[in-house]
Amino acid sequence: MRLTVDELMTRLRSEGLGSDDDTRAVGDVLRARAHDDMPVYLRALVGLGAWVATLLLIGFFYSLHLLDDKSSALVFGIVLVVGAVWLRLGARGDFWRNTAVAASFAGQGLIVAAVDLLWRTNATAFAVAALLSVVMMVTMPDPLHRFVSAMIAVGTTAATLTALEVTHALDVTALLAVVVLAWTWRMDLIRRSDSVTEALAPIGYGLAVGLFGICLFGAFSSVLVGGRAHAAALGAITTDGVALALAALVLVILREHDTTPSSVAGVAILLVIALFAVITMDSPGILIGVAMLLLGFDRRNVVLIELAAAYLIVFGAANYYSMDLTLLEKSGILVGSGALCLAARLLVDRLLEPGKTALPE
Amino acid sequence: MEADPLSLPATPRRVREIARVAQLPPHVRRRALTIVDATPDTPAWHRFLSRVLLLLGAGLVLSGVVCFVAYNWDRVGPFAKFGVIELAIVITTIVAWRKLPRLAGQVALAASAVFVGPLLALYGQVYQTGADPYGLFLGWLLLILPWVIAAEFGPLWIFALGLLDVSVMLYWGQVLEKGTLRDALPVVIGGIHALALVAYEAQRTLTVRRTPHLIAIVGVVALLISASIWVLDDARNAAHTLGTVAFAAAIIVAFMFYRRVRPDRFMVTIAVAAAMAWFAIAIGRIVFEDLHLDIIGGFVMAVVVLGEVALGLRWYRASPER
Repeated sequence: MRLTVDELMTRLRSEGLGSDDDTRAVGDVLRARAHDDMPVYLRALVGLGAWVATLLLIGFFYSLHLLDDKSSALVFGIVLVVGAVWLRLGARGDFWRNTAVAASFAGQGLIVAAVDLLWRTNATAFAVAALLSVVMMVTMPDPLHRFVSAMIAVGTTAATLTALEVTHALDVTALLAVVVLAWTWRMDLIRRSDSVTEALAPIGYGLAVGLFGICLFGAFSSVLVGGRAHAAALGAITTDGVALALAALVLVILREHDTTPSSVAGVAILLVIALFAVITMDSPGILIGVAMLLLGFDRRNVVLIELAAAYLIVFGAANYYSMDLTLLEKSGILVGSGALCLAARLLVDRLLEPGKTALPE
Repeated sequence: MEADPLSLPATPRRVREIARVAQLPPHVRRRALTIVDATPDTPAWHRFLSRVLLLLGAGLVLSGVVCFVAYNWDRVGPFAKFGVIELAIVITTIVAWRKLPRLAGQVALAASAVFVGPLLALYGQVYQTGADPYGLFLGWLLLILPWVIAAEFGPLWIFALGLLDVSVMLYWGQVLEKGTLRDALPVVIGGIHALALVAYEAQRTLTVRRTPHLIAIVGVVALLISASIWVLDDARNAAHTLGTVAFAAAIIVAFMFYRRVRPDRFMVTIAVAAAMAWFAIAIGRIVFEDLHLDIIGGFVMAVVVLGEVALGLRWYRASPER
């Protein structure tokens, strides 16, 4: 799906933009940097380890009775977070890097618990947690920390809006996440500085997982809270927003393929998206998964594609137990959207039959 | 042997790093980023959309049929319900017959196999057989086994293995009395997955590595549960003693096999991570139960876990086959 570095260098050489010496220099750079390359599953295991360490540290602080005194919990939490950032900035080895991450989250946990005890309102505690996550995404120069902070930011924003009894709290959060996701993954990529790109990469994944998380929560909210029309359930607002975002993505891709939206392919694809949105209006989780699949392929990003595929499988299972819709309604939505996908496949095969390298006008 | 670094994927992040360190001129950097950031070409989109829409469409329709059967709509008579599902099985099987061994045929046969479950469930609804649910899943598995073999489709094998797991778990929960045999459930699941893994590695038709990875994860987690219960709660329980021995054997065999015979970094990493998780649990038992370090125990264990992670990463980076 993606070019190898060798293929890229060959292409640059063929365009007169590189030499064999450049290729050798690039090989040397990659060999020297191999130390920092880690596959996704290893990153996930390291993240799990840091998370377990965070929970153990929070347990330790709890057993020290730090939470009995709100002010000392707040002060200790702030000291811990500042110390963690300082430690991470100077850390050389894996042990100190992961210690800094665990200490930071334990410190944030103390701060949020202290705020909750001081103000006694859930909304304040959740808002502080969301704010802290955003601040830490900027200040803590650690990919794992940024990934988890982005997830927490999405979850705590939804929790804040729900606690404030904002109408369509989950819908609003989902749309906010979609907008930030679109900017992170697709807008103005080449002009970004190296440091911004480096910082945004884990945040992009964290936002995607956070968005999937609130969709799954939305599917279960009616089971947890009860009632079909509960504000916590995701609905038509999210579907419309995601459909618009998906249509915008398709338009950008069509433009990059030198195809206008008024072409046969453009109109057909936009119509399919509109139909899909109408069929899945009450179940936006499906469209979110589909949009992320397409974004993942557009970015040639296997991790994003696999995340979206795993999410769709989990969402399919969770959706069965959701009480927002009856099984008959769900059946109609699922069969309708599935049939549309199969019909769209026939359309795609017709529009893009093998041998064609461009879309029909 | 060290892998050729130039064979790594040209991700935007990697290209930026190369440009910075190798001091590529700005116009070359920009062109390289434009190439790797570009959306795939039309034939690549065609291949992707064709596969995704087929898999997604089939998955959604199947889920819809399951929901429809579960709704048990009383306005539709039993024979109409049987007719719809049986017709779906016939149609998907004919499509599979025409399209195999292509993906469309594999997906169609997988759909036929999945439709058998709702058909059996409907049979239970209409005739109120009163059978134990494990029988439904086991019957489902036995009925579809020829199709599973014929389809040569990794996800369908995983589905069949899932059916076997569910059947065993339900049988253990519903039929077996409390006792040693009942405690042996994780060992049985681990054994089933070990056999499945051996079978997968012995064949040559299926090549996707995600399938054995998934099989191994479930098996290792099942054995880790048994070994953890042994160390935390019940060292004299024969089933968990067996589970611990099986866990140790699985880790050693996986480590050796996937390092030397069939190199697979994922499998080796999972084996090492599972061993580290078990050690952390064993140390946790010593810290909290034997030494009674109730207050400082959390801190000690956090240091242990972080130390294990650091050691694991050091081992990974130092591995010669990396």
